[in-house]
Amino acid sequence: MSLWSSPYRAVSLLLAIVLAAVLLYPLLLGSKLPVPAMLSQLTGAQPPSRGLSRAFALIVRGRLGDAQAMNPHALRVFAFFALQLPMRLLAARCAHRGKAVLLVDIGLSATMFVLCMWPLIAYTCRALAVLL
Amino acid sequence: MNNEYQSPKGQTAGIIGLVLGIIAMVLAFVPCIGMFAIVPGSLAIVFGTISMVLASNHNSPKGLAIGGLALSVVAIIVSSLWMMGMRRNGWIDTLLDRGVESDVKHSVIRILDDLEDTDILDDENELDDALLEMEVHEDDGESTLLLHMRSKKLEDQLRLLDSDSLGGEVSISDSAGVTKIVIKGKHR
Repeated sequence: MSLWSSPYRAVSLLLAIVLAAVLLYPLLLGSKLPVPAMLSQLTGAQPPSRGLSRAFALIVRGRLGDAQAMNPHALRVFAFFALQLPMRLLAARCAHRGKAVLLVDIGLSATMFVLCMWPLIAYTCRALAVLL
Repeated sequence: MNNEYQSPKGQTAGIIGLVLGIIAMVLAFVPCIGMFAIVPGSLAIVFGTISMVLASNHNSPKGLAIGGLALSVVAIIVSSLWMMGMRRNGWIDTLLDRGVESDVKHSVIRILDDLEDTDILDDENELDDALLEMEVHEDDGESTLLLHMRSKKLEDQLRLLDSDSLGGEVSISDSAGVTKIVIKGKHR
């Protein structure tokens, strides 16, 4: 089966590559190149994403307790990316099975996004309301 | 049954647009980097538009284009609101000024890297945790680095250093739980 024989398969595989990169980044670069906490640097605020990249580096090394201490939402956010990777590969494999698979995938992924990223989403909404 | 032929034109652009739209959507809701979602979001709109135009002209499915455009519009709105909020609060200017401050902070980090227990500060973000305020004053070829910090570990390490290590004369005082450290000397 060609990659481009199904757009759904192509999207799933491309997203799987992106997710693999997101999960490999903390493993390969560890805490050497964390994502800069610009919001905290500029405002002193402590958003729920602060320390997330360092926590990811700890999670991929099996230090779950330390990761939880670094950022209490880290495991939840990491779970989204970690679960989405096999889901994308499964979706690519089952792409030929029709629209039902696509709709279930969309619903499941959207729900996972909201549930796992909820602390970040809620903070974003509150912060933007305050800023504006 | 509808046997009308649907061309694959525009599908590649639609695929790229949808992937970029999803990436932008996830990035937009991460507080520290939300404003950067405008980059993949803008690219998603470009590819989505190309896909929509090709699909319209060649009787192709438009689902990918619509999905990518919808996600990228939401992401760009959120990202733009971040930038508007930061602009309104003067943070963009602060961000541009940070270059000078981070040079001095790198000097402090380099100094502390010479210590035996260098895992106190792994990176600039940990210094941010400890550092409440940093001021740099320059006068007659000499610089004064003023640090207000709340890290007991960092304070203890700095107390162990002598003037030569820190590049200047050091004085440390405590007030209301905040440590004030003044380093007078030559700083980059």
